[in-house]
Amino acid sequence: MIAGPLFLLVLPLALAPVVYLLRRWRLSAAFLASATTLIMAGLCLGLPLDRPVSAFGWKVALGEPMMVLGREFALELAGGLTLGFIYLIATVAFLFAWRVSQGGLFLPLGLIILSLLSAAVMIRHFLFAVLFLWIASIITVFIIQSDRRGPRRGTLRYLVMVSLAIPPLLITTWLVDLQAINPDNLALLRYATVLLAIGFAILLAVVPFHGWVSAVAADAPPVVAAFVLTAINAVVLLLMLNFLQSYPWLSEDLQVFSLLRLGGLLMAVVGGLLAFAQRDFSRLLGYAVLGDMGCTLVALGVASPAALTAALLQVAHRSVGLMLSAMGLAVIRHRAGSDSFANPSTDLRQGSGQGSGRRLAGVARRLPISTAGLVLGGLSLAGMPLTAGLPSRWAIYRLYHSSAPSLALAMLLSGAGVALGYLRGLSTLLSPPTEPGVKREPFIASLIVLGMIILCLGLGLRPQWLLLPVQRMADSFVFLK
Amino acid sequence: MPTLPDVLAKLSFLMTAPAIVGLVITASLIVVIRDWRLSLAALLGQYVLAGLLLTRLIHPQVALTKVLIGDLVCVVLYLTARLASEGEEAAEDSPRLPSIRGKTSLPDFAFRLLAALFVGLAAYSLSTRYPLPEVPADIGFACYWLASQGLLVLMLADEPLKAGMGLLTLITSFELFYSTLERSLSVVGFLGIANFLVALAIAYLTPSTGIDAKGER
Repeated sequence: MIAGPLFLLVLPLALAPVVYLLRRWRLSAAFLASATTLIMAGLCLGLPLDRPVSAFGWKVALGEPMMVLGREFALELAGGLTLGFIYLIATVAFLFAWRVSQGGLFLPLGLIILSLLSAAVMIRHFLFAVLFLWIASIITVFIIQSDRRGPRRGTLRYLVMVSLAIPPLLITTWLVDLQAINPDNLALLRYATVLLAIGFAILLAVVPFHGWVSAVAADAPPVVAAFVLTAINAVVLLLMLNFLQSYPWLSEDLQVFSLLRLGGLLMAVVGGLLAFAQRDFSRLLGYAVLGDMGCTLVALGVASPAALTAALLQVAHRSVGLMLSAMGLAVIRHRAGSDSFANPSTDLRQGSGQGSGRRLAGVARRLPISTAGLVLGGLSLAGMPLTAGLPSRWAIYRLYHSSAPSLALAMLLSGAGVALGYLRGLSTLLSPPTEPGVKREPFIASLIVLGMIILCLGLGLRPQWLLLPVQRMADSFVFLK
Repeated sequence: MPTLPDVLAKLSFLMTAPAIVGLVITASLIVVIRDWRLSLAALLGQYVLAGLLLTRLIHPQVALTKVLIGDLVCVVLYLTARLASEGEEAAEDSPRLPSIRGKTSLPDFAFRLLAALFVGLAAYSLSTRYPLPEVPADIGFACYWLASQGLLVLMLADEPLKAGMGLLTLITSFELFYSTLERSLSVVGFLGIANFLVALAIAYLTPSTGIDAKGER
């Protein structure tokens, strides 16, 4: 019998070198990588945790703990659902990378990153989870930089910020262990809370540590940025919830939830305001995600099971909107060579001299599906009606509409800022073309974008598709009951 | 042939004040000097001195492992910087990218020296007011000094290699403190892997400057 964690750790890691060797044959590499992640998603979402089943000729016990070098790895319900969702998103991203390249290292290193993130989710000890997360984040630097030459501020900023976040989290574990030996020393818990807040604030991009999100969105290939912001953010959030679950002194401290609310509000406001001021789609995407992540934290700040469900639903819906917008952006950048929708006159006045705003003019006529994907994904991140983003946003607004209507209004305005930013960009895309036409959109990539558009609209109209697993996951966190 | 304890016994005079002074000087050199050769030599010295200090706190073998990882990191950075430097020499006509061969002008040197001193004073003040737990006061001061200078380098650096040295200085400072708190060998291993991967990531970001300046090498 094979313990489930072994599959999740070893299979992506073992196939990564094969995918690397196949990288010149993009179809084979993308097919192998996405088939691997699809199998992983199937294992996480389809197999029961409480009993062994036969899969691929082997008997697999998904919930069976496994010891490696004296450390226990075990897949629990919340971890399984999170990993399953991340693997599904990765499947779509890897398949898309077949037609619109996201860098030669994306597929093999993406598999390694997923294996390390699985380890971070499954290992029992928080200290080692943080170390696995750190190593995964350092490897992420290679796919953010991609094959492109020239210094990238976003890559370096990401590396620095993640590395700054790790020490406080590692020291927290020591403080918590020390407090267990000295239960009367409450000062230790205070220090632990402060350090934990700093570490997670950096990883979750809470203002003023938010700069890396837009920098990564601007510098990384769009689908890579979406992959990083989806997968790593989801794992960080899960680690935070697991920590709250493990230590009642923390989850019973109302100040923790006030901090979450405040941090989330700042993110939502700054994200919305800066999104409105952007003149290129990649940075706009970064700030849109920042604002949406802020709303998730605001929801968690309510500290109730319903709020947790809304927050988790929003994480899932955000991933769909983010990936859709990133795919649309990737096709547009690939075909038009730019993603800036700056007014041509401003563009020239500022000395860029490239007229990138003009390059995007009329692109919507040549790339209608990608344009629709880009804008619809953006509107979903803004929580606009008919998109995947609305149901969870609506649930969050309802959490606050009677107790703190000003908070709900701030989040609503944040979404409006993001939506207006996208509509400004859309007006450039729809304007009459001023330069020779760009090539038509790639067929397979458009099909994938179209599939994601249908999913985004479907989740907007029928949010209950994802509600059941999200509800099960929220129920597994008992600290709010 | 002398064993590791014999060597350490001979070097014991270095494990107190001289090592602390050495760390203060090497970390400050990384801030003040722009030339990559001197900065890298200072980083190497920093790893050796931090290793010597660590022998007072943890098993000498583990401290030696950390020094060896530091040496590997320096080798990776040296090869990278040499490659990038040659690339820059071949692309003298493209000055738009930040250079790793930058010469330190007098005003720049004075500014960096003053900044290092001010930040160092703040570090000293912090180390006396909030001493780190579980480590002797002198090592606590060294941790504060390294962390502050590492942060300063990160703020002042305009190219990945220098910023990377700042980040590695910061991580060294953390390891100097954390090694006493968590003595598990698997944690030491993880931190070593992370250090090496950070160096590889910096190396991956750095050659771009030289290569990009001329299009292709």
